[in-house]
Amino acid sequence: MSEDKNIATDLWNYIDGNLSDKELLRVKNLLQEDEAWNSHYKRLLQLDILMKDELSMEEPSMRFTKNIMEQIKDLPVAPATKNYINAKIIFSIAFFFMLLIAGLLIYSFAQVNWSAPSSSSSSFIELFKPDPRKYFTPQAMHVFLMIDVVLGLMFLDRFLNRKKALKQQHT
Amino acid sequence: MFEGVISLFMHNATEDNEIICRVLKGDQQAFAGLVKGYRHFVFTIALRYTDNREDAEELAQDVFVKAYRSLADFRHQSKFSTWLYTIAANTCRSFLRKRKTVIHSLSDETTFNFVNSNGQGMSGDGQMAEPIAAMMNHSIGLLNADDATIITLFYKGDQSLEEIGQVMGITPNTAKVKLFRARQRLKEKLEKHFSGELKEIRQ
Repeated sequence: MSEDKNIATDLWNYIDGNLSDKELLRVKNLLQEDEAWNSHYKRLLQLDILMKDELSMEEPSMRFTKNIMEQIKDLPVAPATKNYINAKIIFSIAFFFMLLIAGLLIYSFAQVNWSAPSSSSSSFIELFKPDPRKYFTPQAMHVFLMIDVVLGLMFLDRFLNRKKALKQQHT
Repeated sequence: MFEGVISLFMHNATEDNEIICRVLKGDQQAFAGLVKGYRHFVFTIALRYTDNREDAEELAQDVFVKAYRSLADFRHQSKFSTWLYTIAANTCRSFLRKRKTVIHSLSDETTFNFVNSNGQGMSGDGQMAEPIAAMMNHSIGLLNADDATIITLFYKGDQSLEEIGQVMGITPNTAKVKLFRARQRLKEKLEKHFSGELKEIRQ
């Protein structure tokens, strides 16, 4: 069975013209000398010809093209994605997050006391128990709120612009 | 005659690109040229995924509407046909997922009935072409949708293994292996159900 499969693989590659010069010579010799190879080849070649010549395409209904043209009548071609997806922005965001992850990893490893005895796991636990008071200072909260306000204004601006554009389209 | 049939199904790349440019410039009616050029093939691909002609027609129409909507995204890095068939394959697969239908294959009984009703027609001397085509089309209907699609893309869609890989979302090497298996399965189906007809053709 496996030998048959190998013969079939070689013969299909021979029919498709995917063999190297060396393999091509080997298969040609086998086809001349071995009757089993030759009869197998004839069967596959017949199938190849049948698939090329006899497989037919199906015909859709007479209204097919008309239906499509009616469906797209009121549809505009959508703008190309490259026009509204800026690769530079995507890469900048990816770079920012990679930098953040790398920074966190470096910081975490720097905190580990590598010389500590293995039995004591307290330092390891402390590493993942950050003190929130250290990070949530009034200054950090002000910065956070400021970013939120700026983002909110940006979204409001976009929302109003879109609304204005829609209004113009309708009029 | 044969060349005429080929030209009916195949569009040349320059002609396609010209039509695409016209459509992108606002000549919507030019899109009908692309539909007419590829409707047979897209409809055939849809029929590989569903046995219902109405569903297949709806799917094929959906493929063309999607292609029209995203025409600006066609970057001419591949043939238009490869790009269109990728949309077709994805649309058909998502249709199957939504419907959760089992990929159709004809039962042995259906095939037996087909052989009985068509077998006699095979012996006619000048009338062989049509029954052979029917035999091939029925045999390909016995395969699963992906196998049938790969064979159709390779033999009738003028797609290389690299392009088939792109359409099916697989590597060219996987496409080669899948094409090999699909052809082997088709050979098995033909030998199982149409051995007499095959012998007759050989003679």
